Amino acid sequence: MTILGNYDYLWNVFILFIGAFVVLFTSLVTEKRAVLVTMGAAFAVVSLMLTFAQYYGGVPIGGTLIFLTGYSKLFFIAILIPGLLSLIGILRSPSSAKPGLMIFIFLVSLGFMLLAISSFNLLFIFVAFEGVSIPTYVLAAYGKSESELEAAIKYFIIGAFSTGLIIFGISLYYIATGTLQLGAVPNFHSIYFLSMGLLIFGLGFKLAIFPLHGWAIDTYTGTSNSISSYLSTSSKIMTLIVLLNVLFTSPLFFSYLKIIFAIIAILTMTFGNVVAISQNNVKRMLAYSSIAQAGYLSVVFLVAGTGAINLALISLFMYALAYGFMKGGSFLALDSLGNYDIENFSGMWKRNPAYAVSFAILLLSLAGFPGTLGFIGKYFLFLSVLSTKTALAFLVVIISVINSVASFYYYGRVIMYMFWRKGTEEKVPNNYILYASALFTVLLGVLYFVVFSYAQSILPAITTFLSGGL
Amino acid sequence: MDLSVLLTFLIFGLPLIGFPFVIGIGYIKKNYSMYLGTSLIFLSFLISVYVFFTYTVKGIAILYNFNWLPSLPAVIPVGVYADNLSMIMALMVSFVGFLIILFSVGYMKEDPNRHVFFGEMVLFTSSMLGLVLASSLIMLFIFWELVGLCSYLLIGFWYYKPNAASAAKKAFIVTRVGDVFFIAGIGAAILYSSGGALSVAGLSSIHLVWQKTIVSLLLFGGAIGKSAQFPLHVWIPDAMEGPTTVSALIHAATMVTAGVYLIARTYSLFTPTSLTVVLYVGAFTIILSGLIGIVVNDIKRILAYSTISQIGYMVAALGLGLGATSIGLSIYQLEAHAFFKALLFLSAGSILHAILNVRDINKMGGLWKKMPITVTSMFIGALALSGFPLTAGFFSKDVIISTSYGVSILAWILLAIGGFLTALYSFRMFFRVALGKPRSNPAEHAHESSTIMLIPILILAVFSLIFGVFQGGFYTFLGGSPVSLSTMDIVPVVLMLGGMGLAYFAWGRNSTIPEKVANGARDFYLLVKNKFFIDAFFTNVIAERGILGLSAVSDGFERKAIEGLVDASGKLFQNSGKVLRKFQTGLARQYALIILIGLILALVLLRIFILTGVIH
Repeated sequence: MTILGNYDYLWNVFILFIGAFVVLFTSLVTEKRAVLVTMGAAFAVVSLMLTFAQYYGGVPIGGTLIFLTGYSKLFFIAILIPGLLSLIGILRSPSSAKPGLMIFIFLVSLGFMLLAISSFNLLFIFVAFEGVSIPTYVLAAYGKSESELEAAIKYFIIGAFSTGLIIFGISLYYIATGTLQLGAVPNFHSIYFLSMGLLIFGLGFKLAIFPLHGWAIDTYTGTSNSISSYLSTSSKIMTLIVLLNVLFTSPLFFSYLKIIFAIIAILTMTFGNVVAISQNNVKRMLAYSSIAQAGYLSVVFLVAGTGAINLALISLFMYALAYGFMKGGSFLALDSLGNYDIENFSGMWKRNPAYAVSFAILLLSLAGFPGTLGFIGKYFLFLSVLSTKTALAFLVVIISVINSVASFYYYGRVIMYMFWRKGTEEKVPNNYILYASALFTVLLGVLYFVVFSYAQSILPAITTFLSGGL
Repeated sequence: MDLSVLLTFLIFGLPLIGFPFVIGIGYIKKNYSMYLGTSLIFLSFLISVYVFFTYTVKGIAILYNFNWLPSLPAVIPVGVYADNLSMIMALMVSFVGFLIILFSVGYMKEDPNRHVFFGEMVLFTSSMLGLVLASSLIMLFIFWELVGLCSYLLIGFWYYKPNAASAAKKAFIVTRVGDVFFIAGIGAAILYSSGGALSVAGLSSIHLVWQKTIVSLLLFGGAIGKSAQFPLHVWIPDAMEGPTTVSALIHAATMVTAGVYLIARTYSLFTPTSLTVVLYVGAFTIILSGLIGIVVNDIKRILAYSTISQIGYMVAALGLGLGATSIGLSIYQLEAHAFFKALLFLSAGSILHAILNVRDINKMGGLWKKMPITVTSMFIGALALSGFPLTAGFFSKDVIISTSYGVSILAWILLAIGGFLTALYSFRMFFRVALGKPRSNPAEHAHESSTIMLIPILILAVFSLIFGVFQGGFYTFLGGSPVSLSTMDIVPVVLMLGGMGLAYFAWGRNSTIPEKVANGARDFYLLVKNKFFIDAFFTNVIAERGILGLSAVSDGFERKAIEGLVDASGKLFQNSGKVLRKFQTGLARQYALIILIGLILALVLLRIFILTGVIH
């Protein structure tokens, strides 16, 4: 069926926008949270199913604006799944009177995320990126408490600041290369590198890598759980892929910028882990751990320009999938509790065994415990980095592994409280998103070769458009 | 993947996936575990039968491998390999496993933790099935260890009994010694075949004789541990002491055969040198355990020592070095032994159930009248065990003895004496149990067991009697040549009848012969009674003097050197965490400033790189 020519391939995005408006108009009739969330989730599921069903064999759309391949498909999936989890999470939080508008904004930003990762034109990327940013500023502010407002304001200020950096970076990029298309060969190298630096810092703020992390802690802690989960999963994966597109296509990137990324990755994970150790608030601990995870994720930049790109992308997909389940699931799990202090987790095994076991599974997966998808993702990611066989890669992987081990301390602490500390007898309601996430984390962790071969079958043998630096 | 492969996977996959459910469903109602566990094993058995008759009988070997870790450069195959040998084993394991679990339904019906017991039984059976169907040494090893784990859990099932707990530990540690050899063997095999030997079929890629000898002897070391051969036989008798009769049985009938199976599976690696070692280790074990079997009084320990000596026959049969015929002889003995030993264990279990777990045979007596079915079955078991003509043991064991005549006279003499000892200890046990007058209070009030416990006993009794008819076909099925009866077979029969008669004169009636003999050869009697001091040697010399000392030294090192280091690094992390937290002020303008500083630093760094050109 052809309606819009090549634009037909973007129906998974359109369905999200259509859904957004359908939910908005329905909210004029009813403001029942359950109804609206169900509708929104239904549209997200349809979008996910369309993504699964569609075959993307290198489709150019709108001239050179968008280019869809199996690579886009993989990360559509990795963004949509945690997005769906967070959307369902809106059922419980936050306690706002207008869920219709919230879901409208949510679906719009989800749609823009998909557009942002599939584009290779800087201006388009910028528009789509802002199409994600602005709705998420609003989402972060949704709710009644002051902490939510504070979180949103910080996010907004840093976001606006970064937008400035991006725009400046794009202008310099145009000066250096004479085009806005990614992958162009620069005429002025110094300006090109300046623009790349600005773009990394401007785009990277959403990924919350080391010097750009400040807002993330306060925002993740302050907003409602479903939005924390959304910002730390879908939004982060989107940013990572956009950065990957910008940098992997760049013909001059790797000789100089790789070492900067190695430093950033090491600092990010070490900082996140070290500070997480001394946290007593579980939500804040998760926020710091989310920074540490961003460090692990950015290890992937070290494979740029080598033959390991394919394995790295497959592992990145697996890790992103794992990350979506474990981070999304663990943030959303907090909805069952009123108070996120670690003391409040004590005796969980007696209060709700299913909750305790599932939450423990997610924490173990975050720490990279064998048998979970988190371990598999990390393992393959580090393996692909190691296969580049450079001294830098070995250094970064060794530090990452040390960091992973150190992270067992603060994840294990929560587990210890849940299983071995005696605390209140207060019952904890069931949280089915948590259970589902834990189930998938273990199931896919055991059957990882299914995920692996699925990703392998989708990803074209050589992602030529990404090997600018080869 | 076609149907045959899927079915073969299901044989062990079904109980493997099912065992958590067996335990889980027990939390709803304990008895559901029993039904679910029993039906899972029964399904496994049915699938084995189907696969056996659809594929194996027609000569189709099922082989399927997939790559375990696709990202590694080496291919680690994991999959199933079902040829005649594996399927015979799978049939035996699932069938005997089914009968045992059926028996447990009656035997364990009052235990408060029976859901866990049935879960462990199901896991045990599935690991054993996985072991025999594994297509690579790595996978075989994984299931091998799972079997070891389950045996630890089952032996220690009544963990509140100190005997059971220490027996479980002993079994685990002793078999671990063998496992070290096994894993070294796998390593050596991989090394010598440059990775080819990861799959069972790839073992043939080891060519040099000395390499084969090393690999085969190391693998045999693993087999010794699991199959309880000298000097690692010490765990089985203890394993019988604490646990339920049922779990004692699955060890005797299934687990210990894993080692024999391992040798048969890797038989192509065994060179004449290593076969000689195998033969004499087997023969020596037969005599050793046969002698101990005559002096112990605990009924389950008698059976344990008898198990060790019967496995000695299987190992010795493999050591004869007659190629496929050896495998045939050994596996046939294995199957026959599984039936009659299971029969003996279940009858013993039934007796113990009736007389309140009094295990000393000197306190039994006169039970034939009280429990006619059980004790008659035990009689059949004892006949088969000692190789009475036309029973299963006659066809399996005596053939081994007479075949060994053609290989080595010394081996033949040892094996034949072993046959005599077998008859002696088995009928000693039987006469003490069945004849005479009850020698204790519980024995006077014994009564026949429930029907569900008698059904498996009767099935096994029938098999122990008629299993001999399969002999000829069995050998050819495993690729060997049929062995016909010869005049040499008279010797073991005569010896066996002699042993039986002697047992009657010594223990079947009131007699003082045993005491006189014991007093006459006091030193020898004490040597045997103390199990040749092997257990004492392991415990007192190796464990207490050697290993405890070593561990004290490394403990000191660990406490002083390593722990200090760990503590220091932990403190470092915590303190730097506290310092870094201070930067998290919550001021947005400060965050923006940090970003800006970071950006400038990065750009400066980049500029320096470009100017100096250090990195290209």
